[in-house]
Amino acid sequence: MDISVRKQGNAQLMKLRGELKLGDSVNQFRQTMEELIAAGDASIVINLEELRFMDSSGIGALMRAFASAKQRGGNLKLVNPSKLVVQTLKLVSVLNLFEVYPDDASALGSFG
Amino acid sequence: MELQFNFRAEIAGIAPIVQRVTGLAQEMHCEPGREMQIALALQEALANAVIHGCDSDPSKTVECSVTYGEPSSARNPAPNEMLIVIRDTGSGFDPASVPNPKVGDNVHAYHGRGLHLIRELMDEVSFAQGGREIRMRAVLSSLREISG
Repeated sequence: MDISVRKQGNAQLMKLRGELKLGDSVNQFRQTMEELIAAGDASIVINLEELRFMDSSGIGALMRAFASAKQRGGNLKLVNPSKLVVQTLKLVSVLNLFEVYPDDASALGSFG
Repeated sequence: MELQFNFRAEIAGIAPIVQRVTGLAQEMHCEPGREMQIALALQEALANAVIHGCDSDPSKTVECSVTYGEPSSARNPAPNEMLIVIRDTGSGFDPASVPNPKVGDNVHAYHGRGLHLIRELMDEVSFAQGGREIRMRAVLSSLREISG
């Protein structure tokens, strides 16, 4: 999986490409999120349009990041998840916990 | 026909099997998208066998068989189905004791969703040998409905 992160206004914009699943990709995602939040960047947008697969380990890492961001007074918002990722998040009833936006601009704008 | 995979209980051993079985589902002309539902269920079942069944101990072995097409006996799947059986050497578990991840605080948990995904994505799931064996049947010609 490929992760890119850049600061956009008041928020961090992260893009995930590939597969977020048990092993290196989840470990990489978890470490990146921990570093962002430890640095005080708790307002985070994750663009998921090129993430084609997420397993339960990936969901767990996403939930951990979501909780950490909230605890620091921030939020974690999603952009344009693929159909399979939407289905996966729906199956375990977590999709509705997140704010989901159609594009980066609207997600970033929601942070004000 | 049957594919048999025996691999050391390491996370790295999972991806090649998932990739091969996903490709097989496509070769069998599954409904588009069904192969990814099967991939996710298989990923979860193999991860459970490696992590929980074998404690990620590479000296232990996970067995995975995939039976498909041309049924020669009553125990084989129909031509448009796939039967996946995964076996580990652990101490087993009681599938009924696994909490529902969609209830209460479980929704916010950081783990515990794999078995639920398997049950939702496969057409039939059963356990044997005290939880050391999982049997998953997948119909290839139709997607599982996702109600959410």
